[in-house]
Amino acid sequence: METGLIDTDHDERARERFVIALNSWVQTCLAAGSQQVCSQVVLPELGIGTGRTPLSDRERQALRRRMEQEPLHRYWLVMMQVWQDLLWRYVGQSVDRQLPALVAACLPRPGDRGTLTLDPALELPRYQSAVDNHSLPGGYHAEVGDDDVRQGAIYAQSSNAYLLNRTGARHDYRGQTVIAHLLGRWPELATESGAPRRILDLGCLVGASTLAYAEQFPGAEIHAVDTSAPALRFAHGLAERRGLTVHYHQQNAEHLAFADGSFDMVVSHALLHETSQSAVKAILRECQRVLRPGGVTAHAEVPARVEVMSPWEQLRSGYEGWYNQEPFWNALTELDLAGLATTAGFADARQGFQQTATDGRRDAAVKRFVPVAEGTMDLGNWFLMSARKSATTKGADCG
Amino acid sequence: MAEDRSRDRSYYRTEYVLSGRPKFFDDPVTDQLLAMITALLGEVCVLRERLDTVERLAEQRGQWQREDVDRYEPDPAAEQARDALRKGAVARVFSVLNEEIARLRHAASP
Repeated sequence: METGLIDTDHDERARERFVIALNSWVQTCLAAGSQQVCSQVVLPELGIGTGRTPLSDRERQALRRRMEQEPLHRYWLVMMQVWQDLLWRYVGQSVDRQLPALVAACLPRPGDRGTLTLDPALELPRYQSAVDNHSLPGGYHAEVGDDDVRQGAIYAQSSNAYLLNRTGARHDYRGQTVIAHLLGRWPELATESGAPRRILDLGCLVGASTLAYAEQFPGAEIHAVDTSAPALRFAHGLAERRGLTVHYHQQNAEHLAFADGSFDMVVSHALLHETSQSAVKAILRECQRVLRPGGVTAHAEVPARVEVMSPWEQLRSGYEGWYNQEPFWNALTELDLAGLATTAGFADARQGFQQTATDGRRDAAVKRFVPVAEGTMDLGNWFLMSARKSATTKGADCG
Repeated sequence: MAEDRSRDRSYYRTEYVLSGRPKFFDDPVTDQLLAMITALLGEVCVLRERLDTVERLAEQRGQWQREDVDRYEPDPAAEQARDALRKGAVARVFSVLNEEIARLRHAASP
C-alpha cells in the first residue's frame, strides 16, 4: 500500500513487480496444472465428485495426502512458499535499510491529531504467540529495537504484491466494502442524525481499513485496537501522515478496556481467521458489550467458505491452515458466524458475500450482498457477517 | 540486512522458523533448488528492468552511444560498488541455504 513513509528505490520497485508476476503465475498457471491433475486423475481415483460440495474431513485429508504425491501439485506447494518467502525477504531488506528513519517518522509527537496507547504488559494470546501468521518471520509482533515498527512496515509494504493489487493503493477496499455493506443495510447510518459518533475497529494492524472510516465518517471519533505494538506504532505514523484522527490502543479484542455501550459501530477486517474458535465467541460478546443499544457490528473475512469451494479449492484454502501458519483458517471457512453472533445476543445477524467496494459511501447502493452459496472464492467479494444490538437490552427496566 | 536480522533472538520467535519450512519433494534439496532458481530469476528480472530504464533514459537524452559501453573501464570506486552488488545477489539467491545454516547455528547455541 502507499504509505508516504516507506522509501523504495528502482530495484525495490522492480522486485515488487517481479513478485506480483511470480505470484500471479503460481496462483493461475501453476495452480491450473495442479487443478487439472486433481480433477482428471486424483478425484476419479478417490471416487470424489468435482462439484462444489464440502468434503468430509476424511475425504479432504485423503485428497491432500494423495495430491502431495503428484509432482505438479508439489511444484505448486513449493512455489506458493517461494513467492511469499521472496516477498518477505525483499520487503524486509527494504524496510531494514531505512528502519531508523521509519521509527523516527512514526514516533508520537506534540500536536498529533490522534493518540497511541501501548500496553507493554499485554499478554499475547496463544493463537498469536505460537505462530508466525502467513509464515512471515517474526509474525506481527517481533520487535528488534526500541519503538520498533518493522513488522508493521513489512505488512504495509507487502500488501500490494501479497493480494495482487486487489485491495487498492491504500489497501482499504476491505474497509470500504464493510462501509458499503453497513450503509446499504442500514441507510440511516448515512444520515446526519443516524451517523455513528464512535467507531471501533478490531485487529486494525497498520490501520489501512481504519483510515477508511476516518475518511467516510469525518464526524465520528475513531478508535482501533490490535495486539501488535510494531503495527500500532506504524499505524499511528500513517494516520498522522494522512492527516486523519485515530486513537490506537494495544488491546486484546477478547477483553476490551472500553466501557459498556460506548460505541455505535464495531467492525473488523480479516481479524477473525487469525484468532481461535473460543476467541471468536469472546470477541462477539465484547462487541455486544461495548455497543450501545441499536449499535451495529460487521466483520469482513477472507472469501473462503467451504460452501462455494470445489474439491481443489478446498485444498487451496486448506493450504493456509496446513502449511502457512494459519491454524484457524480451515475451521473458520465452516463456522456459522451469524449463529455465533445470535448466541452472543445480537439481533438480525446475517452472513453472506459482499461485493468489493472501492468507495463505501458511493458504492453502498450498488454493491450487492448475496447469500453464501452465491459467493465466489476471489477478492471480487468478501465474506461478511453483520448484526445489530437490540434497541432495548434484554432484561433491562424499560419502565 | 535481513541476513543479519536472522541472528536476532526475536527473529526466531516461533517454532516454525526454528524447525524450518515444510518440504514437499522426496529430497528437500529439490525444494531448496526451486527456491534458489526462482530467486535467481528475480535477480535477472530486476537487472533487466534496470538496464531497460538506463537504455530508455540514455536514448531520451542522447547521452551516450552503444560503443561507449563496450569501451567502459570501471574506476576503483565503481568496481567496489559492483562487488557489493554481486555479493548482494549471491546472498539473495542462496538465502534459503543461509537460513538453513543460521537455523542450525542457532539450534547448536540456543
